[in-house]
Order: sequence, then structure tokens, then C-alpha cells
Amino acid sequence: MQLVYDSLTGNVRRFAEDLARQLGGPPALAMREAQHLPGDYLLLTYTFGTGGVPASTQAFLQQHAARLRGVVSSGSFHWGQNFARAADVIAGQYGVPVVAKINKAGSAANRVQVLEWIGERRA
Amino acid sequence: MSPFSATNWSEPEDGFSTTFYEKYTSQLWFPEEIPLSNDALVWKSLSDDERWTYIHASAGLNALDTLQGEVGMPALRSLIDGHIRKATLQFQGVMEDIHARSYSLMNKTFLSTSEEREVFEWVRTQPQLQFKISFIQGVFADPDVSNLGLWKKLAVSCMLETALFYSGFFYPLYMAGQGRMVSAGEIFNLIILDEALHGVYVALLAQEKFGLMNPAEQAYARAWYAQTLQTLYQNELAYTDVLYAGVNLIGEVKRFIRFNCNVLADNLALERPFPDKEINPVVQNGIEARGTTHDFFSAKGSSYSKVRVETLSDADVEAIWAGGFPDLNVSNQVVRVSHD
Ligand SMILES: Cc1cc2nc3c(=O)[nH]c(=O)nc-3n(C[C@H](O)[C@H](O)[C@H](O)COP(=O)(O)O)c2cc1C
Ligand SMILES: [Fe+2]
Ligand SMILES: [Fe+2]
Repeated sequence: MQLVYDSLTGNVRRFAEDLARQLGGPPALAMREAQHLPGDYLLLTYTFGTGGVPASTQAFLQQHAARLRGVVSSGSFHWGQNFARAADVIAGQYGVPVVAKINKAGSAANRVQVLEWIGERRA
Repeated sequence: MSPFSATNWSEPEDGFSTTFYEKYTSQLWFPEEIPLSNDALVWKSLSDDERWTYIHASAGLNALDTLQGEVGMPALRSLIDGHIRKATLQFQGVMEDIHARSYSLMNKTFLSTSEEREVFEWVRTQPQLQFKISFIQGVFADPDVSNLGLWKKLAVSCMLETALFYSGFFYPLYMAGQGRMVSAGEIFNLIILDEALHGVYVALLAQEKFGLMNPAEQAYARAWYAQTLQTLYQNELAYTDVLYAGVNLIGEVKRFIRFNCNVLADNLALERPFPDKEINPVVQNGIEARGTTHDFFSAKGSSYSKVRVETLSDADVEAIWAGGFPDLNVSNQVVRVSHD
């Protein structure tokens, strides 16, 4: 499972890079560099505006919806009900599961959660 | 001296400042727009200890917002390059002044004049609060404006925005999470969202300065940060002991402070200093309370009633000026008025 991420201030990038390191497979791909995706991928993005999906992520999904398998979104707890809502929006729009919602750069428990999901899909 | 240039919003200085400026202006709110009258009744039903913690927590926050509006933001604005960046920081300063005014209006609503005086005097003499303020003022006033020096100033500003306000924020959130003081809680939530954005914006500027330092400077910066955070964290613990002793929440507040120190580290792209723990569920409830019936930004909170702006039509203009261009018809109007 390829990891593809979008990140403005670096939280999602750090989370994705950490996962890729732990998986020991290919490095996580920044969205800009992920124009040619050969296989399935997990999208990692953040929440912007008011519980919204960043424009860059939206544009990317319009091109690459077919192999999207799941979504992780970062947010920050201050947004209350809109916390990490980008994941719900994308899950609803593309019919994929929300794998995790993480506060900022995520916790160790979040990393386990995502790694387990990837592991289950491999088995 | 190079010629003075104008602000060109068509040529952004970076990929994010305009976004923040626009977010700030679109979510601008004023405390007068959130009526506190329901809370005034609830206030009377609180115990003395509950009232004491609530109002002194707010008063401490007032002092910190005053510091950010009067010292922090002007200092950063004068040292950071770029017209759009300066405008964005200046707007943040205005928001801090609005926050300070909100706290003061709460005092005015809930307290008698003599109680108000007591609270303001408490701020002037509370040792941990004064230590925190003077420590941070010292960093803002440090003449070192190298990348490292600027980074320190940006970093302490982030410490305030993202971590050091939270000893004060805990209690109003905890109250709102139980359905008490919910209008004031709404003001706190508006402030918390503002601060969340300030913390991200200033941290982006800090990350940029950090990237410009050489490895030795970066190592020094990390060590300075760890030590500074430790000093200020210990001070927060002592402040919490004073502020929350009467309401038995000391342990919970300290946990919330640590949680927010981790958020701060994420913003600055540094190691999280504390193990990850969940937020107290009552506080979590207080944070979510505002979103139950309203979209937060279009309504800006559940009892928020900002004046709507409507475009003027020609008919409106004609009605206002009664058929003449005002400057040309001054004498007519004066005559007309005097005949009415
Ligand atoms: C303008 C702006 C709007 C945001 N809106 C939300 C939001 O509605 N919900 C949320 O959970 N987080 C929101 N956030 C927080 C970010 O999603 C969070 O900081 C995230 O970790 C950013 O990821 P990144 O560091 O990879 O860019 C917002 C941040 C900014 C700057
Ligand atoms: Fe503030
Ligand atoms: Fe602020």
C-alpha cells in the first residue's frame, strides 16, 4: 500500500514518513510527486477552512480516485465537532474507510492504528 | 535607503500568509455580540471557590492577551520582513486586544466594582503570572535579531498561544462541558480558535527561521527551547496549584497543559516533550459544545448575532440623500432640517 500525503505545516508529512519508515517499504509520496500511481494507496491529509478538504487534496482526488483505499486526516482538537473532518468528507465522497483521525502530527497509538489497518489488508 | 513599496496582495510573499489574513478577517468577532445575561444568573449559583477560579483564570488570560497585543505582536511585526506578513501579525495583535476586552467585559458583567479591583490587583501581584510575563517580555526585548534570536521570539510567542494559555482555558471549558456558563464558554471557544491559528501561523514563521540556521545553531536552539519550556512548565504547575486548589482539579489541569505542550511541539516541528494522553472528557465536551447546532464559522457560535451587511441599492441612496449630492446641497439640507 503506497502512502500519499498532503501537508501544509508538516504534521501529516512527519506522520506519513514515520509510518513509511516503520513499514520499511517505499517512502511516503508527497502529493506533488505522486502523479503516476501504479497501485492502491492510502491518502493522508489535513483539515482546512471549516472542516474542509484542502483544495490541493481535492484536485488530486479528482485525478486519482480509482486506487484510493482509505483516508487518514489530521486536524487539531480546537475545532471541536469539525476535528479532522476532512476524513469524513473524503470517506463519504469516495466510499472508502476513515482509517484514523489524528491530532496534529499524531500519537504512537495513531501510528499503531494505521499500521494495523495496512497489515490487515496485506494478509 | 531603499524606496518604500506598497503591499501587493497579487504577489504573495509566501504560500500561507494571505490564507491566514483572510481567515482572521472572515472570523473576526466582538464580545458585545455574545450576550452574557444568561450566564449572569448561573454565576450567582456557583460556589465561592468556583467563582474564584473562573474569574482569576480569566484575569490571568487578560494579562497575557494584553502582553501579546501590546508587546508580542508589535515586536514580531517590526522584525519580520514582508508587508503581508506584517499586516497579518498586526491583525493578530488586534485580535489579542479584542480577547483582553472580552475578559474585561466578563468581569464587568459578573463582578461588583470592588471585586473587579481585587482581581486586577491580584494580576499585578500574582508571582507565577508575573514571572511568566516578565520572562517572555525579556525574550521579546532581547536585542539579538539573528535567525536564532528571531526564532526565540517566535517560539515564546507560540508557547503562549498554544501552551501557556491553557492553565486558564481549562476551567471555562470544563464548566461549559457541564452546561454551565455556556455563553462565556462560547467566547472562550472563539478565543481558543483564534489562538490555534495564531500558534500555527507564528510557528510557520519560526520553522522558516529554524531552517535558515546552521546545524550548530539548531542544536543550540533545541537545547534553549527544552530549557525554556521546562522553566515555564514548572511555573505553570505552580500557577495551577494556586488557581485550582479550591476546585480540586489540579491533576486534570496539569494533564491538559502537557497535552498542549505536545501540540506546541508539533507546530514547531520539534519532539513532543510528554507522553500522549487523552483530553479530559468534560473539557472535550466543552470544546465541542459550540458545534452542536451551528456551523461555527458561518454563525460564529450558537448565540452569536453579528450585524448582517446588505448591499445598498440606488433607492436606498436616494432615500438617504433625498435627491441631492450632499456636498453640493449643504445649505439646502440645513434649510430643510430647520424647517422640519
Ligand atoms: C486555516 C486553517 C484552518 C483549519 N481548519 C481546521 C478544521 O476545520 N478542523 C481541524 O480539525 N483542523 C483544522 N486546522 C488544523 C490543521 O488541520 C492541523 O494543524 C493539521 O495538523 C495540519 O496538517 P499539516 O501540518 O500537515 O499541514 C486548520 C488549520 C488552519 C491553518
Ligand atoms: Fe489572544
Ligand atoms: Fe494569540
